[in-house]
Amino acid sequence: MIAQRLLGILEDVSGVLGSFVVAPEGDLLVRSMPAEFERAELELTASRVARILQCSSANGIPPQDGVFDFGEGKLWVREFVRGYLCVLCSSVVDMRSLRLTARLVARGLPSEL
Amino acid sequence: MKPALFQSQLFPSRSVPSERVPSERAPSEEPRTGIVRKMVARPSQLRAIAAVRPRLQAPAWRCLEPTQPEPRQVSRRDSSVSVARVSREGERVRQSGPDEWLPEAAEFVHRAALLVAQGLGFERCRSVCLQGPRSVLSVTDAGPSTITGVAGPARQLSNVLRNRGLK
Repeated sequence: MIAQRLLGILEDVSGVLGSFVVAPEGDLLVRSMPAEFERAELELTASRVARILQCSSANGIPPQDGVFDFGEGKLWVREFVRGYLCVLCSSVVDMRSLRLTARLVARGLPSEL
Repeated sequence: MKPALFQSQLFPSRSVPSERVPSERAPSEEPRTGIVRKMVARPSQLRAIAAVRPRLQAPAWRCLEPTQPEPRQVSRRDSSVSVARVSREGERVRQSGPDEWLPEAAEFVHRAALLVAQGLGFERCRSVCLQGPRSVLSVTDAGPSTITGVAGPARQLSNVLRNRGLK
């Protein structure tokens, strides 16, 4: 599947742990995450991420990029035509490389997932 | 016989002009006393003045300084940054700026981001920064009991974007 392969490209960036794609409504569309992340738990997380982004949009700030800083890790979010690309990474990730790669991946993701 | 006081001692031949009605005096005959008096211009002189300095006829005062640019009309979103400080229980500690929604949104984002962090195996979420096409929303832990929310134009919050790695 092309979307899975594209998400795999992100793991070439040092510090990236995994990634997933969330629909604007909060559905988990695709994932490429380590095995310890269960699908049910990830679905719940995806819907919470979508709620946060919706809250921002509702107040006049439709997010194109976003970062959740967890201290030891980060969740980087990029909007694309079909939803949001979320990349989980460690705190030492090179944000510049991640930004560039994630934008390319987001652009390449097919409109139908 | 006129008193000697009115006669020039240096040029005795020059005599004091005889007294005439002021309106009959020619401008070249005016004594140079330093006192200014209103001149009544003849119609031909008025036309000449008007040709050279037409603004003399303008009724209003003018500023002689170079034209200043008019104040830029800015939208509310362009003008200022909003800051809200909220306790973890959701009480407003401090708020400034035009975005009334910010305290509630900051509290919601912080609570949801904590659940996102826990769902991904972390203890807490230190900050969330969301960048829109022109604006930014940032929610940060501001100590053990308070959260700070900031919203405003991306131009003015570029340092926040840089610190979060979004720029």
